Amino acid sequence: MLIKQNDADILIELLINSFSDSIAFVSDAIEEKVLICNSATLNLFHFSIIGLTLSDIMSLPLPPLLLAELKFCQYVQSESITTRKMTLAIEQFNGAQYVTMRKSINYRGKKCILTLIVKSNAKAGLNQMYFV
Amino acid sequence: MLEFLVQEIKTSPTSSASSSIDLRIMDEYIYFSGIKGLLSSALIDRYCPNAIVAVKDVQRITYQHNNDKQKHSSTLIVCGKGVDVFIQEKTQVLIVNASAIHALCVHSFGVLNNVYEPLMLSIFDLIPISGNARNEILAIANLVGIIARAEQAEPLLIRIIKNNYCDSTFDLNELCALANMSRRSVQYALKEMGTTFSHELKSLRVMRLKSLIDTPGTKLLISSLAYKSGFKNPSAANRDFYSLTNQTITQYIQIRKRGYANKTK
Repeated sequence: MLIKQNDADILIELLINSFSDSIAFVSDAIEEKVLICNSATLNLFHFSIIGLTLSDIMSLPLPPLLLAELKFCQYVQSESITTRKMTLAIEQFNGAQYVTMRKSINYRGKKCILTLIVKSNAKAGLNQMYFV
Repeated sequence: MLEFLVQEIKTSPTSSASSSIDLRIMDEYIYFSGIKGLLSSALIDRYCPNAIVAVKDVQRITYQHNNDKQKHSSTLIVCGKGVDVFIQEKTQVLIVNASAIHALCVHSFGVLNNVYEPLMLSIFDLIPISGNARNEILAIANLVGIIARAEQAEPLLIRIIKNNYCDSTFDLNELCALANMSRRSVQYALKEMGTTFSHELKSLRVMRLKSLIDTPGTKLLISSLAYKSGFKNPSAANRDFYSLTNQTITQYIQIRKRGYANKTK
């Protein structure tokens, strides 16, 4: 059965808010601005990222290592947007390792990217990216 | 395997090792400094095929590509196959094992255009003063991977069109937004490649439509195949198909059917 767009939007919001420990947010695929995020995202960044793009965050004065890690994050995001394929990647931030998933979705009638970020304790090697 | 690479560099006749060698070997990378000599591409190729090397020095770096005459670059170079680099004791070398980051790296040759040079220089400076420096090395390795991939990837605009042509709502405005370029720049760049947005879109959709028709056992209606190929409606599919192939979709199907019937006789 096909779900109406409004119902799908509600389900997406429900999904995002259901992630308590992991980071989940939806960003516009064209403008790249974050449209909705969960409380774990606020805990990580210590400020609301709604309405911001990754480039906005990277324009803040950041240490070079974190900037390089965000560059990789931006690269994975751009690959996800331009290929419209689901990407799975291992990324590092501030010495911690995360597994990330990005999926192209329709939200509020716009083409968007759903991003899920889960902290990982596995000692994987380089930051890697896979298309699924 | 990578230990042998360092052993050979250290023991090669032209090399000398200082007492303070900094060496970090992992499956995915090898990092060292404190060795003076020739970092030979043949040697790297033997122990770490398709590796990509980032070399940072306090002064200009001397290198040689495919035995051409020696060249001097800035204080940081990133290179693929065929480049021999003359390293000094203070030179920092990071060899990234491409097979460990196959999702990022591709075969790369020569000195690569490094858009992340200032950032990479800052992180290289952090390595000697950082604790285990694993995160710093991984960060540089990632940037090296991105550079290597960008160097050989097909033009961004064509890539975006190829990934989106099946979406009937995909248009020039969306291409501009995804490529982060103005409409005029996109049109100019495509013109430089000898194509236009509408021609590229049309030919990809027609190619897809042809391949769907040619798929054995296809029983879908022409309209369904047209929508699947990214056309807004069957008449647009017919018009574009005719303009590129000089035949209608029905004619094409009939010819294919006749050919298939002759083969099976």
